[in-house]
Amino acid sequence: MSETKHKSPYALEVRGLTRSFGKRKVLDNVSFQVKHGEILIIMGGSGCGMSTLLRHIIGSLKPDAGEVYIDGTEITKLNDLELAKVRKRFGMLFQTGALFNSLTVGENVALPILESSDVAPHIAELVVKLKLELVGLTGFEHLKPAQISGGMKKRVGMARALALDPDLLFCDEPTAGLDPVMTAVIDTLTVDLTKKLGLSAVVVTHDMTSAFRIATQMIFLFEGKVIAAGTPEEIKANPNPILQQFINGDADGPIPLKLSKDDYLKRLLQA
Amino acid sequence: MQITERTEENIPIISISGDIDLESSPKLRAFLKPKSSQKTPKLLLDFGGVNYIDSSGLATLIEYFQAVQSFGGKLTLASLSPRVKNVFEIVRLEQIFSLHPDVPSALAALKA
Repeated sequence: MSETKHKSPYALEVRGLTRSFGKRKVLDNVSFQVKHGEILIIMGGSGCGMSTLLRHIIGSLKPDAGEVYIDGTEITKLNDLELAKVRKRFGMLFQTGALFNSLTVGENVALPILESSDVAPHIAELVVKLKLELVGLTGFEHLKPAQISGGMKKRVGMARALALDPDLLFCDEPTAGLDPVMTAVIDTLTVDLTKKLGLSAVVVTHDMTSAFRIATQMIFLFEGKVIAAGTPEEIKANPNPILQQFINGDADGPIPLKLSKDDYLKRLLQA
Repeated sequence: MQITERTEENIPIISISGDIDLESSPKLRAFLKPKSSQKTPKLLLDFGGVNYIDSSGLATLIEYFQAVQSFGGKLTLASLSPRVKNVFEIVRLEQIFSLHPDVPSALAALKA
């Protein structure tokens, strides 16, 4: 999409997103914005609602309350057909890569192109080559997902997410399971895409090195709430002990590891 | 997307304007196909009016480039906006395509 076509100053805006599963409030009044060309990092402990948040943003889960605007279009109340139209403008990289095992690497990457247009197969093939080169996998198009490593699958997932030249890229742990060099390749690619092509990216990650390397904005989720937000410098300087424990990777701190143990003993002894 | 053609010093100059995307790139492909089958020796694509090109647009140009290799056909591109140029550069295509700041320099390169 060309830059001039933006409807809103924000590629993504989340307002008051709230969602409970049973009695557990997984998302509690979550709000943030991503301007065009920015990389937002979503941090938080495992099970803090980050993947749930992503699933709400892409419309695959519906919130109890709140709104999600993708370039000004509110998507939580759209029907499947309308949502499919908005989805063409964003790419999604899933945690596991989510490739089709019966298709080759090349066919996996070509899938969104062939599904959404009547582009000639030869053109789709060339686009696949361009995308595989972006993720450092030139020459791998004929292999099946079972023949490549987990990290490679993730990079194929990235190539597929980029197949339709999205305006907005969502990545769920894009660098988990990648070696440091490949992590740097994916990080550089994400930064290049935003700087050179004006793409915006929302990245969920536990990898603090990678997060601070690429972020223009960061939010920290804890127990379903955004407890810190800002630029990487602001996040580093934020004195919140929970945040500091997380970014420094300290075992001791306010994040209640022991709480779950007490809860476990109590539950164990309940009649 | 609009395509117009004129000739300068026996060299066809194709001016493209608008967006080259999944929707419009088949039209560009249909326009370029006869150029390669007729073995057009030199071709200039004027990108002055192009706001946006996606990967299918790049693929269409690569396909033409591949086709003209067999008879030594030459292709130059002129007047790419910085953003359009970035789309080429992110996949290192500036290394195979001959990109020029304006039509006269692209024309001069074809005549050289």
